[in-house]
Amino acid sequence: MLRPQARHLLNRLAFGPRELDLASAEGTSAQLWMARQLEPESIDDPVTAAQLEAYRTMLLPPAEMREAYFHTVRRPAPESPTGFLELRVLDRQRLIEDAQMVQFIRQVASERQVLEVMVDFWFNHFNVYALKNPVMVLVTDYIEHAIRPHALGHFEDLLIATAQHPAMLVYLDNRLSRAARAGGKKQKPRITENYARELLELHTLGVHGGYTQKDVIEVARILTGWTVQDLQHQSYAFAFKPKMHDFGPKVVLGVAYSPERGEEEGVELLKRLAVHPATARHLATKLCARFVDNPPPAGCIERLAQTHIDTRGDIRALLKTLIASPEFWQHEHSKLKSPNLYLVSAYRALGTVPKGAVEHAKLANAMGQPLLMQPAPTGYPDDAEGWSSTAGMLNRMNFALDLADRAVPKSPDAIDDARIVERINQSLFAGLASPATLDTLRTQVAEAVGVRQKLQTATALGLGSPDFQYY
Amino acid sequence: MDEGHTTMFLTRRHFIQTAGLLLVPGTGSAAPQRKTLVCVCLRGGLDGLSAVVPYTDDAYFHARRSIAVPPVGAPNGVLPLDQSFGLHPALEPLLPLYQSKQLAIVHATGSPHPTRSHFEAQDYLETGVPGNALLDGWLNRYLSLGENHPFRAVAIANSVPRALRGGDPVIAMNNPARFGLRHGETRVSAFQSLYQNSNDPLAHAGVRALDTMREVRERTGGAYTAEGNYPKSGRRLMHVARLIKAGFDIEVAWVDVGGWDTHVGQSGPKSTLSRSLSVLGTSLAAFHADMGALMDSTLLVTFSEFGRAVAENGTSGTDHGHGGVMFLLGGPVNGGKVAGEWPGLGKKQLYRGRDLDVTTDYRRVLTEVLTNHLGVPNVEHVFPGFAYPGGLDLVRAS
Repeated sequence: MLRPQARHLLNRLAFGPRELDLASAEGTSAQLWMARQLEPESIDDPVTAAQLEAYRTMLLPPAEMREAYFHTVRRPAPESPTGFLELRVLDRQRLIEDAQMVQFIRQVASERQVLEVMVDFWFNHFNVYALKNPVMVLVTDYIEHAIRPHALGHFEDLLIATAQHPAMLVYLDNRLSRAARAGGKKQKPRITENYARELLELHTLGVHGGYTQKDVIEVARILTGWTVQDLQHQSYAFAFKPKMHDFGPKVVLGVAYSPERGEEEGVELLKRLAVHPATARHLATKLCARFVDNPPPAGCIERLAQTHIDTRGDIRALLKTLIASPEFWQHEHSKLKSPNLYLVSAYRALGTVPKGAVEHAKLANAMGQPLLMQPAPTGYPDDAEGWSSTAGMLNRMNFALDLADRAVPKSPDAIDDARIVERINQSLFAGLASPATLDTLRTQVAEAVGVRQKLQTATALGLGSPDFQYY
Repeated sequence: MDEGHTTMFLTRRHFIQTAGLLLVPGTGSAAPQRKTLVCVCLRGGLDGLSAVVPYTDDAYFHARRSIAVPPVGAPNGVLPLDQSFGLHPALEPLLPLYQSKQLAIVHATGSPHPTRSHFEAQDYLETGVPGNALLDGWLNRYLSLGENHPFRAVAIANSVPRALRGGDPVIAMNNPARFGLRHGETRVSAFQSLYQNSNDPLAHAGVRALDTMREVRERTGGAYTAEGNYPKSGRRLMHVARLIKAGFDIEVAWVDVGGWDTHVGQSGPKSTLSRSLSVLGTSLAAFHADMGALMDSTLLVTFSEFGRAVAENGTSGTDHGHGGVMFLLGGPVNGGKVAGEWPGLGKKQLYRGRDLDVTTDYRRVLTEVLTNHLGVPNVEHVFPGFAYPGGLDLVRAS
């Protein structure tokens, strides 16, 4: 690949290029680069493993992990002889920060970038909200066991895994949805259609995917009894509870589901939805919007939708089709980075990871995109207008200033002005910064006094420049 | 360019420059006070039947056996407004405002579009054209009718909401007190040159961010003592009041207040819904108190993408529905009433057999606001394709 193509590929299918990634991508073709990335288990990733070591507890099964995040707090208690009461409570702050940090480390450090980009894409597609109780205890397990193993697999497996994960069952309330109790008095079914609706609208068919309100209710009926074993006692496994299930006949999108099969009905439904032509088109549109351009070009949507149908939702095949599409290569540097992508790509470019989770959580929060914390089931939006507000721009400039101060050593080696500008051009812009940005960098570096201030100025302006906001 | 336009422009400039000195609340300044519209968007689908309860309708209590707001007089019961409707007890702070006729309510209002999808319904609410999600925001179309100036439209948010997006610039900030660039002035000018030298469309956003920052810093320095008691999680309206009181010439302000998607948790005073309503009621009342005399020229309106189903679901909550409720607050409001035709809750009266019907299109209410409060002559431009059947006597003509 030539430098511009290598940069483009690493911008879109990685969280931005590091200098060493550019060098190795230049030595191969886009197809071979992708083929290697699509076998993530064959890529060594020792740095990520080492950095995740500090978050070992976070990766334990949810119930054990939760135990490890209890801490003792002292609360004033006038009746007690000491005036204080010692209570053991869940340290929610530390828990959520660690959960964010695990994802963040993978995004910044992992050599398996296509996998991490797709984990991020699918998590956003199958969004859950960490602050809905007790999703924060479940969300890491959700990503590690429902999303990551299938992120480059088949869409059907991803769909079933998310549908049966307690994080989703809690987030969209399906765990509570139940049919009328048999033998009881005449009673209305106690179903909730929250998950059923988002399943059709957001996860599979799309809002104009041709379903009706009746279909939503029928889907909700099929999924009655899909619940969590025992949330109150931290028994977080998926459970199908026949007592809650509606065993009557149902029809979804004109297809009759023979009753009395319990959990199997729901699995059949999900399998049908996963390969439905409307799902193929909905996913193709979203993939093209994320990886090509927004609004997405029609030709690319066609090709991806066809691949989805031909391969019954093989995500590897979709990604191969994506980079084989001419549209993919025609829309370079055209998308505004989301706040999270901006942060992660900056850390990658400078080879610096933030000092602590708190700091990053605060930054992402201020920029409007904290990891794992989007309340709405739509996930975060993928549009430039929403991210280019006055507040958003100031936050980016502030981040650039802070990171530059931190990234530049206290007493840097002597280096002349021209080389400072060239160094920033290489590390942040793959050597392809715009003439206007280079001009300003030269002037401002010349005005700054001392090597450290010159380096800080160049780094801050580079990270905060219009050029670096795009990918 | 004709001369009249130029003169008007100069007058406006002059007004903007002096506004900061004149618009100190309570001084009774001679300058005509800028009319302000404050939009409070209740994302998630507010349950209008819980907020403003049809407490004499048996069908309500029947449909909501376990989650109905208790009757008038019962503990945590309905606070009656008139013979038919009463407020949820968590909205108690709004009661005196209703009694002093500064608060009006429109019931059974919403979008005529049948969608029950949050994002679709919010898109339509914000484009102002139900069924069309591809347009600019209706408030930005309103802005395009008048003269542009830097602080004309402000969203207290991380990003500009859909309703305000479009060709006219809008400021988004989370909190005026923290709206700044760290590391001092030298860096500000460095960034300024970086963005001024760029041809990129983003450059405008960058330059505007720096200009805005400078002005906010100059005019809202120091601590702010609010005249009202804002709840901790409802301070966005306080930021609006702070900017207006600092003399920023704000025509349109926007805040989001969330917590309404109550598929679960609508029962009792500690439920999600009660807590959300309490935040809403308290912050609206605090804003009213904080603004003082400025409230005479300010109109606050709330809306939500849809109401919720009439019947409770199986999880002590309600699913997405249709018709809902809007609140209008302020001096220009012809308040003390629950307006709109009540469609009833009988089986045959429900929309598609399950939801409160929409008898008042939300654009009808907003058209009356735009016409009477902001003096817009051509509302067709803001809500294209909407046939305005006339107002509901909610807003006094200014």
